[in-house]
Order: sequence, then structure tokens, then C-alpha cells
Amino acid sequence: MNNRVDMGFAKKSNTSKRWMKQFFSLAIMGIFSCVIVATVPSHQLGYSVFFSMLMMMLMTSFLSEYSNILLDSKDNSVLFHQPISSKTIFAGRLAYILIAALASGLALSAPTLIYVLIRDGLVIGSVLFLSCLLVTFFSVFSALFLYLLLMKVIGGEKFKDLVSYLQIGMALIFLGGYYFSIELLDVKDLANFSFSYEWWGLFVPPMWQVAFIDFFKGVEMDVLKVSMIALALVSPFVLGVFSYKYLSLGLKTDLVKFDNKDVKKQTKSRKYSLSNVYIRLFAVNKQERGLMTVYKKLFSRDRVYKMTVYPAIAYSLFMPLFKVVKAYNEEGGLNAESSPSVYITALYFLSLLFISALLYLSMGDFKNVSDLYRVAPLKKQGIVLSSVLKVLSYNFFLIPLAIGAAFIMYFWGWGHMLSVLTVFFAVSLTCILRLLSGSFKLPLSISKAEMGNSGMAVMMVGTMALLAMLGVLHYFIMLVPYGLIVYTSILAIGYFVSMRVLRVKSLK
Amino acid sequence: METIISIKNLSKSFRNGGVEKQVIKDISLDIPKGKVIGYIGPNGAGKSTTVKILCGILDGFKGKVEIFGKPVGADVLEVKKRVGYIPENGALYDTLTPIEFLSFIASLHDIPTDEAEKKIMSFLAFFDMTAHMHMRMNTFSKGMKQKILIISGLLHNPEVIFMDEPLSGLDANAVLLVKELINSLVKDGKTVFYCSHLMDVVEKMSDEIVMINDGVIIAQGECKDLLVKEDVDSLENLFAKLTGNTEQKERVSKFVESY
Repeated sequence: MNNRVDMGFAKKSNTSKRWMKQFFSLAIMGIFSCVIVATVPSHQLGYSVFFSMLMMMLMTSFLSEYSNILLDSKDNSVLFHQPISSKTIFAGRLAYILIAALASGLALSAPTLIYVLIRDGLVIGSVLFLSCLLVTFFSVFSALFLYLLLMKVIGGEKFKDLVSYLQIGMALIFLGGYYFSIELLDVKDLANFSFSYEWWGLFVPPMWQVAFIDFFKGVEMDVLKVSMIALALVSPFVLGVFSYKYLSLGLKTDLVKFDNKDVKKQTKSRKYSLSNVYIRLFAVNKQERGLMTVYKKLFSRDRVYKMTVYPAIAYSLFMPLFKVVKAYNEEGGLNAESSPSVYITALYFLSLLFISALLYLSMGDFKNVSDLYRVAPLKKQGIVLSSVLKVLSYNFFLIPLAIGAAFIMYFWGWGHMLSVLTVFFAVSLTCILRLLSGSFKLPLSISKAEMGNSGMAVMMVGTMALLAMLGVLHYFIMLVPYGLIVYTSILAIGYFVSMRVLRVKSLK
Repeated sequence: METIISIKNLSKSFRNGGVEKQVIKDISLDIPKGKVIGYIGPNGAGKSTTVKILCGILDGFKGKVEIFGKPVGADVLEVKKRVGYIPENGALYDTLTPIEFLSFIASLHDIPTDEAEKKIMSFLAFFDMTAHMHMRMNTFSKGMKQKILIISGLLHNPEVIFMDEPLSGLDANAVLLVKELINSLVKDGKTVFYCSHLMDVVEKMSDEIVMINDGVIIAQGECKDLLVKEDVDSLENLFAKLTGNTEQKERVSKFVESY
């Protein structure tokens, strides 16, 4: 089971180093919540935010990683004919998930725990530690409860589809909410904030932990607070015990149903659909047309790929949307006289989804298809990469850019439309150069476990930095007469030349 | 008779964790046109490696390998257009339907769309797969996927066909169909290089046998001549005799006694 959960431990060598790296990365992320706890005058508000962030991170991890352990049906044929009960299988998987969740939870809480221990002493520090454990258990058990219940009600492919969309949707909400909360947080308002326990707090798990800490801080108790404390202490175990005793019964049957692939009849796509017209227009030859057609289908049907890439929609759409709305409010409207930096920023942010899609393009389960491309009469296998680049452009870039273009046209007018082309060529050229510089990996050919996460965060940060640089360059070039025309022309030539070079890259 | 495949002093090694293992050791072979060559040997003998070299999948070998008088390698398009490969356990894009996958293969071979559609429909009907042609292949059994792989290797009407355990997973009817198909392909002037460890199947189908063990050719020629020469009644016994493994019965009874 060790290769089930990625968690950055994808490669089997140097496992302990990867544990430390993962722990350290999470602890760095936990510093933000520590800053909140340290700076917010109301300790209850500070702890509410802390526990909310902790729960959010754990739930996101559950959605993206731990659920794969629970729902893994790959060893059905190995385990299920052995004399092992559903409860045992559930317990084994639960133990694995809990260990991983506890390690992540403690890493995220470490900065805050250390700070509170120093500031408030051993008692409060210990209570906070216990609260973090309770929050971790609650996050894991509530997610497990939901999944097991849904598995009973809906099985097979429908459940997998539901889980996929649920995971994408929740990742979007969490990432978008996380981003918005950072943007909306105004430190000046926090000084005057007055925290109070309300009845609706009974439905907000982070507040239960706040009440638990307040008990040890000597805050006066009432029925509401005591109820919250009871919920904090009891709910994780009730959910866990219920899941183990009742919902895990029949897990084997549920997993077998889960593994049964519903026979899906595929309808033929329309000959003149937008995507088919795009393929006909932009494929250089019949082979590229075939490759683009097939990869369009493969990417749209690959659940793991979609679940990994689609959450980037949060950054790609929410960030520019937020920037534009903020600028609109600050300036009382947008028009041709408004600074183009607004739309330049928005356009480059829109490309984040495309870049994420490209960073993960090798992720998939088609490990042995390289022979197919070596045997096929392709001049060079690089045509696979050029085809995929065009497909991903269509799927993740051109439509957001078109929306951006409509927006620019509406507020700034036709005269600024060239920037859309500039962004397209700048980002696409950057992506092609990335593909040319790296080793040739076939699309959808490396499992998620093998890919790992450890390099991706760095690549994502690097990519965002690069986009920022391109945006700044774009903005300053616009100040030079005819600068943008010349710059865009150079980018366009670079794009077409590098695309030709990409097509002749060989698969080793 | 025209030689269509020429192998001279072929050797191939693989490096695994710092240790070099020689998988093919200096083999030479000339394969005539229009024959079924049975390339047989046990697991790990070097059969699949030989086939992959011939198809241009593997490089980094020593020796000379030519098909149609042209050296094989990654860049020889002419050879690849005329060669078909049916792998054992080949990867398919199983989230596609047979129609989608085979249309994709046809596009890689630059087969005109109308012609490709006709051929695909005809092959699917031949293998009784028409009812499944719009179903995603991730619901298919092993045998069904193997049929699609066979079609993908033959769709472009290759002159030389490399088959690596093509009957793997097929039901009895499909096995008969494939055998008949191979016979008619050969009558049509094609050359079939048939790789297998199932010697009884190969014995019945092949014009010539090449037997390989541990990277070395240990026998070559027409099946009946080889059997007469070594005074055995089957290829299995021939293999056992040539490799010195004649005490299988004693080994089995000892093992069963101790089990």
C-alpha cells in the first residue's frame, strides 16, 4: 500500500528525506496561521481562523490523496479472496490515512503550537495540541463517513464521477476561499473585532475547539459553550466508531461495485463541432490531426488528470476576477483611460490553468504506450508533444483568452486587442521552450505516485514568477511606440520556429 | 527465395542496477519472404527483445539488422510503413472505443479516412466486435483487447508482421480465426514472424522454426526436419533435449512429495 498516497514520497529511495521535506513544507505553510494567532487581538478569532485553515488543509488532502487509499480497488483481486473481513480492510486503510493525516496536521500546527506554548504556557499549549488532534480526527472521520455513506447509496462509475466532481468543486472552493480570505483580510478591522458565541456555532466545528480552549482559559461557561465542547470531544469518535461498526460492513462489496466499470457507449462527436474545426484548421498533417483528436478525448476522460489540473481554475479565474473587481471598485469603473496593467495582470493569470495542464501532462496510467509511437511511421515523436500543446491550448487557454479579449474590448476598446495575441504567444512560447528543455515524457504515461509533488510546487511558483516578469515586460513595452507590435511579431516568429523544433524531438 | 529480414551478429545487453545482462548473444538469421517463421523459446530467452529490435522499438544493439534491405532504427520511415507489430500485453488507450483507437492508428499510418473506416468495420466484423465498437475498452476482457491489438497491427496492410504471443487471452474461436488469418496473409505474400513460448501452437503454424534459448539460437530449420534429426516427436521434447532439461518428471514428483 505504500505507493498509494503520493504526499511527495513518490520515489522509493530517500523516503525519510522526503518525509522531512514534506513536514518542513507544511510547517512553512503553517506559519501563516501562526501569524494570525499571534497578531489578531481576539484570541478566539485567531484560533477560529487557525482551526478553519487546519481543517481546510486536511480536508483538501483527504479529497486529493487519502480518498485514493480508501477507494483503491487495485488490490481487490489480491485481497478479496483471502479470509479478510471488510472491517479489517477498512481498519488497515484507516490506520494508514490517520497516520498520514496526523503527520500533516501536526506539521501544519507546529509553528502555532510552539508559539502558544511559549506565550500561554504548558496547559494551554497542551490543550491546543489536543484540539489539533481532535480537529484532525474530525476532518478524517467526517470525510470517511461521507464517502462510505455515498458508496452505499451510489456505486460504480457514478460514484467515481461524483467523487471526482466533488473533489474538484471542493478544491476550487477551498483554494478560492483561501485566496479571497487573504485578500479580504484587513488587519485594521481586526483590532475592533468582538467575538461572541452564537447558536450557529454549533454547526461550525472550528468554534467547538475555541470553546474547548476557552474552558481552560477560565472563560465563563454556559450551555452553548458546553455543548460545543461536548461536540469537540465526542463527534470525531462517534463518526469514527459509526463508520467502523456499520458503514465499513460490506466495504468489500462496495469496492467490487466501485471497480465494475459501467459500460459506456460513446456517441460520435459531431464532425463540425468547434473542437473538430479547430483541429482541422491547426493540425499540420493527418498524423497531427489524429493525435490531436485522440488526446482531446484522452485528457477529457482521464479522471486523475482532471482532478489534479482543474483546481488550478481557482487561481486562473478567481485571481484575475478579483483583481479586476478590485480595480473596478477602486477606480469607480474601467474605461479606455484605465491602466492596462489591470488587464495585463488578468490575462497572464488566465494562463495559469494552461500551464498547470502542461506541467501535469505526463500524468496518467498509460505506461507502456511508448512502443506504439516507436513503431508508428512518425518522422519524430515530437509531433505528439506539438499535438498535445495545441489540444491543451484549446482546452485551457483559448477560451479564457477569448473571455479576456471580450472584456478588454468592452472596457478598453479594439486598440488594446493586440495584447491578447502577445499574451498567447508569450505564454505558448514559454511552454514550448519548457517542453524542449526537459526530457521527453509521453503524455499520460507516468502514474501520479511516480510523478510526486515535490517538484511541482517549486515549478508552479517559478512559473508564476515567470508570468509576472512577462507581464511587467509586456507593460513596459507598451510604453514604447510600436513596441508591442515588434515584440508580438518576435514572439510569433519564435512560436512557429520553436513549434517546428518541438515536432522533431525524439523519444529516447 | 528473396530474403526480407537479415540479421547478422546481433547482440543486445541491458543494464540493470549497475549489472550488465546480455540478452541476445551474436545471433544471425535470414528470413525469406512469404513464410511463417516460428520464433520460439522459453520466457526470458530473448524473443521479445529480438522482435522489438526488428520493429525499431529498441536500439543500442550490436550487429546488422535489415528489413527490405534497409537498416532498422528509429528513423527509417519506409520500413515502419511496411511493418506491422502485434505486441503481447500491448498498451492500449483503453478510455477510447475501438473505433476511436483504430481510427487513431489509421491516422498515424496516413490511411485515408474512408478507407480506414471500411477496413476498421471489416476487421471488427471479422472478430465479432461490431457490437462493442462504441464501448470504451476499459470494460473489455483481455481477449477483446488483444483482438483490437491484432487489428491495429494489420490495419495498414503491412508486408511483414511481427507477432509476439498474439493468441494470448483469445478464446478458441478467435484462435482459429487468427490461425486462418495468418495462413491467408502468407498466401498473399506477407511474411509473419511469430514469437511464442507455446511450442505446440507454433509447430502447427510455422514453415520454419527458429529456437532460441538464453539469447542464443539452438535450432533452426523446417519443423519436421528438426524433429527427425534429433529423433523426437515434438518441439517441446526437442527443446528439452537441446537444453539438457530432460528430468522434468523426476523434478515434479520430488516437489510434490515434499509439498
